Amino acid sequence: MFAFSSNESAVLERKADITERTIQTNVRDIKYYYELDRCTEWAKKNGLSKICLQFPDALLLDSVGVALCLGKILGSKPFILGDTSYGSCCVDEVAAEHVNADGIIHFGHACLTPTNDRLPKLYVFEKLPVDCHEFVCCFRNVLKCKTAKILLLYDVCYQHAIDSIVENIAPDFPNMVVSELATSVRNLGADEETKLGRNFKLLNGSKLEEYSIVFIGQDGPILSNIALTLHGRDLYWYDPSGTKQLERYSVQNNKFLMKRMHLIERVKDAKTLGIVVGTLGVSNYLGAVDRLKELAKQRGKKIYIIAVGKPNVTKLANFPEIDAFVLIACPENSLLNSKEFYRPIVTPYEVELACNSNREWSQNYVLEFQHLLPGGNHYQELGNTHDITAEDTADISLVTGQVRVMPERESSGDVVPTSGVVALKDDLVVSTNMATGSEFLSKRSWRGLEQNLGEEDAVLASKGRSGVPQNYDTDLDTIS
Amino acid sequence: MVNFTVDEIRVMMDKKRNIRNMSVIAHVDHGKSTLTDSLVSKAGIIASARAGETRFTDTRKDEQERCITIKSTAISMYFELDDKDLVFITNPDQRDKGEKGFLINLIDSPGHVDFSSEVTAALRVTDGALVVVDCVSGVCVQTETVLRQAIAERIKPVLFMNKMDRALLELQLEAEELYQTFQRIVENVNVIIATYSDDSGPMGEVRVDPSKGSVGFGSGLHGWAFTLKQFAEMYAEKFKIDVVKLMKRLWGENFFNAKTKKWSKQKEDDNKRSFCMYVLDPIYKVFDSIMNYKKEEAANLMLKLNIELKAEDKDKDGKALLKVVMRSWLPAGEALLQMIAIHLPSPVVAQKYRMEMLYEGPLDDEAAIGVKNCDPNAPLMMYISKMVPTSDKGRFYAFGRVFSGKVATGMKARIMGPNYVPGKKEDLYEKAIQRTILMMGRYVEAIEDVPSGNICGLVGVDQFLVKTGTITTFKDAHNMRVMKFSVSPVVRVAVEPKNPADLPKLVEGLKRLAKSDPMVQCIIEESGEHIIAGAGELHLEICLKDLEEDHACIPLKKSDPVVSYRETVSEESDQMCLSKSPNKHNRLFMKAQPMPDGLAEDIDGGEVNPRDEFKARARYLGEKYEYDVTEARKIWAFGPDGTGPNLLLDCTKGVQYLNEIKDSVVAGFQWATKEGVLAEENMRGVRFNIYDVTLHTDAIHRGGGQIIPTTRRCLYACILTAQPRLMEPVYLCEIQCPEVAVGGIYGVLNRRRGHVFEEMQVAGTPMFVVKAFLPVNESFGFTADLRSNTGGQAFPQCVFDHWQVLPGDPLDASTKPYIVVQETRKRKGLKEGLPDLTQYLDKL
Repeated sequence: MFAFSSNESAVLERKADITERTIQTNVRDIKYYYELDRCTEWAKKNGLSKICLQFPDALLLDSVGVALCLGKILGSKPFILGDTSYGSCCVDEVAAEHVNADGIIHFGHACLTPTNDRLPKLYVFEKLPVDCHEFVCCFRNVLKCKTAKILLLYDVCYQHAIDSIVENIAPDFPNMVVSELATSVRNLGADEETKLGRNFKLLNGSKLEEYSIVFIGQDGPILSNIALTLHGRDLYWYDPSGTKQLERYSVQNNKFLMKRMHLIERVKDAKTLGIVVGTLGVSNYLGAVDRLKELAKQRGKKIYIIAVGKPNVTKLANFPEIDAFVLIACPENSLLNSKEFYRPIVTPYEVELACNSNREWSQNYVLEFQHLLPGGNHYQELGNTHDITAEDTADISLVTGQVRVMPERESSGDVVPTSGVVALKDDLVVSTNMATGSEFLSKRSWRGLEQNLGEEDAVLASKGRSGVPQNYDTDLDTIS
Repeated sequence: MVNFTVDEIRVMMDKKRNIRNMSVIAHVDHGKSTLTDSLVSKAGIIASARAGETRFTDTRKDEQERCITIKSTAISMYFELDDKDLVFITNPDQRDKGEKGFLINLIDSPGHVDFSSEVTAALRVTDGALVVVDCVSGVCVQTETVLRQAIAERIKPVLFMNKMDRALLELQLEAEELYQTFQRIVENVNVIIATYSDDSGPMGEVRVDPSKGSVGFGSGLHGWAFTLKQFAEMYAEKFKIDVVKLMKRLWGENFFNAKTKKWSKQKEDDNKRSFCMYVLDPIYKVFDSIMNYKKEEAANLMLKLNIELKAEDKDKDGKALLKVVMRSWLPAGEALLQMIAIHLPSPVVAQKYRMEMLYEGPLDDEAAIGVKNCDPNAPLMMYISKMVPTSDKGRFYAFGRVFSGKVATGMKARIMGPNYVPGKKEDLYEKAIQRTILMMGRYVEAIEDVPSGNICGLVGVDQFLVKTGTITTFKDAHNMRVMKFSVSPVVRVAVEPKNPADLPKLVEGLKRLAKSDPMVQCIIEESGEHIIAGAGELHLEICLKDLEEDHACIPLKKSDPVVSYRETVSEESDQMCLSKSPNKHNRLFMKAQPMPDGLAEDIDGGEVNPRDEFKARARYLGEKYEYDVTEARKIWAFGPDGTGPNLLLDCTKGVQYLNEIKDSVVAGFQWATKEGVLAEENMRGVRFNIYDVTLHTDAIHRGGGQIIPTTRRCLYACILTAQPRLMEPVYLCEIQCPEVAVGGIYGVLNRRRGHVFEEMQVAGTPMFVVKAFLPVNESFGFTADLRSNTGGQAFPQCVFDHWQVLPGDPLDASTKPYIVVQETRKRKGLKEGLPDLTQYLDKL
């Protein structure tokens, strides 16, 4: 079985890397905390018998308690899904299908990215304390203009308190828009938008640029994603577990955008792109793969598609011929700080910026790749390849300082010698075409087994090992 | 000015023996541009259509405001030699039979050291150089730099002593003193020439010699000049001596006794140096009579010298009159153009010996032969030396020299960038040349084709070249050798748009800027900093201005100038550094040690390089740096970028599978040397030794993923255990000033960690020259500081010289290097604090 996946014993032995809280929830609180009533109701309503419970690493301590409780109520043992393949914020439908489950309950923090909807799913969020009164005070103190247009966003773990907060402020702020978590797929209203897993409907005829955005939640990927993708008039955030102040979020976008400019240049330079599939759940990820393939093909870049689970330094450094990786994942896992990585990792949007001549750069970053695909809000048709000449695409790389040109379709047939002359090639070079893969191999110093003729004694062939490297049938001398 | 149609110019272009391609080079403020103007006003070609329009050489506005040349400009001139002068041209390749006219393509280049890359680009397309030296200040640092470059490029120099008027009027030098000054300058120049070439070399005699007429004297500002030829001609008849013989007598240790009419080789009481007597005396007399208002004497002299004044000049006196008289007696244009036509080589002559320096390919292939013979019927070989902005934003003329064949409008050619390797397709583009143009000052004229030996511009190839390149029609042609600059881009500023929405415009602007300057580097760093790197503050100032006003056209925020540092080590690692791969199955054991002095520079200069034959290289390293020859044979890599001044050596014995991981180790080495552990600056002068490696027996467990990051960690550990140090770039700074200001200079230099290593008086003048090493980081605002401390009398010229260790341990919070590391980390958005050795070093 583990020819394709890791050895199961290794998984059990591995220590989860948790930095957050690790206190086991009191058994009495489990029912409230994990909303077991709502879970039961949902399961019964949908007539589910085989349920998977997906926990992030930090909540795994409680998983047994929850499973036992639910099992008792439902009368069937649920499965616990831990160690989610990609990000624990995404619903892992694939894992649930391994056990032929018919429903999945996702506990803890979620990115709310739309999935393929193969299974009915239910989100149960953590409940972190928030002092409604204090927040409301801050809110009134900071936002003095009552008619200001305000968009209220919040982290999923404060959803439990949002109603009471809104109740307190809404009457005084008629122009406030409260977002709703996109926990289930439904048809959106006419002006309604879904961004970063939040549905909201702006007031008639107004634009996002006119709104002050208020976010309740901690500093982290969600906040920075909001800062990047939603360009309001200004952005405030309130951290209920930290400063408890409604502060203006100083957007470091300029720095960030300039950093990403470097990556866009790297993508333009890249001869080989690695498409890293960083999700198997997010809807239309295959569409994104196809789109990236198309973009790469148009710019004459060779591509490799790689699925390596959670990308890490070691895994990606195994592909030294790849010049840049593009990661297809949910927004919260898209921006990897690639400092430690051997080659840069970019988002599909950046590949679009680098390769799609029709797309103009803008400050509004798009982190949800669905929006870039046909039908999405930010879809941009590919530039017409047939009219593009080398002159149009030629420019200077600001990383290498060299000219780069989109390779031309082989119009210059005269380059390939058509006569019967046999070309003399270096050792081991099979072909002299410019396929980057073979070019890379021909540059490598190690070309295979060394013969060392005369230096080593000839010996008879002996039986080697068999099996897969994880665990050979005849494991020899491994160093530990 | 000469009126020519394009067709007439085109006819001249075919007479390749009558072409002179030359550049004017000098130290800043020695008066190149003024001198050039006097040449152009005499012989500059304007196409007939343009006649009537003036201000021919006027190019950039800021050049005029600052009185400084920033970009080099090409100007064509036409000049006819008289029959009597034609005999001075003895080499049949220097003149087409029956043709008296000469087409002179002159490139006026900047003198300020920050723009020497422009000079380099000018030298490449020319065969001769007019070296202008201010006879008051003598040979200066920049004179030496550009002259050295010229000789290395096999450019033949002639010398011009400028500002003679100052020597006479301001310094009031005696004739003998002035002769000594001239003599010294000639000697200085010849010493430089002799250091970098010898007379038996392929160029033949390169030395300049007044008695041969290859040294001119005069004043560009006043518009007069002469060589000994002019004076010899005046006296030849009187003495009944052949002009050539007389020229020899008019210079050096030749004394003439007016009474006995005898020549002598020694100074005696009653004889006088011939140069003083026959050349300087008349000039002194003219000066004396006019400046001291001795009207009668002046009138007499003018009569003797056959000078007739125009009506409007008759009322002038003093300096104004002096100018007119001198100009009509010894017109600068005539003397200089004669000198140029006679002494500078034609393309036919020059390309014979320049070919092997210019061409990278085999010296007997079609292209090489074509270049060697300057053959217009051979395959095209053209070198593009720089890009000139057009009025069309973002587009450039590719400016260069045709060395072989013809370049024509509409012809299909191969455009090869500096990274082109024959047989590969990288940096090679096959395109039609849209238009061939003549570039004359700021005007361009379309021309059908241009044959070998000429300088021209091309339209429509700019997209495929960054700064330089080779254009050819020969399929198997190699590149023409890239130019080596004497300056390096060591000063950097980061720019960002005031409005983030303008970011794409900034990026586009940076790309244009990168093209428009031969040396500037525009880079987007991994940290997101958009960097412009240039040779010095002035260079950057001009680049930033161009970027803001011409290329990007957006408001910019600019950081203060910063320098880039290098990371190095000062000791051998104090322990064997072990790093384990993530799967713990592979171990690397390495140490770092500093390279011996000079090796890093040898690698920079290419004396030791990755393409060397490894045995020869090992021998060299063994002899010069006492490296163990067996170890030196196993150099795995140079880094960063495969060529940098750090080495990775395999010192292991009998490690199985070692070669299999070599590529991964080298990749990790390239990565680590590019981004050092202290502040992610390049490493420099570090030798890494791999002492032992244990590897998993199974290939899949020792792949790149396991080895590349581990190598990097291990190299970082090596650095941290080997007393890491920072290196900073240091300028060689030459300051000229009068004696009174010397004290002020020392004060300023001391405050800026400068270190004076030479101080001397310019003989025969009250000027002092102070040479010092000055850290580039301390040079910002140096010029202004120096001026305010010396009453504006001191003028520095700084050129990057070497890297120097910044004293102090960067790991010790009380030192300057520590502060530099922290500042750099902060700027790059890295975690502040010190790198943690335990992150990189593993235990057994």
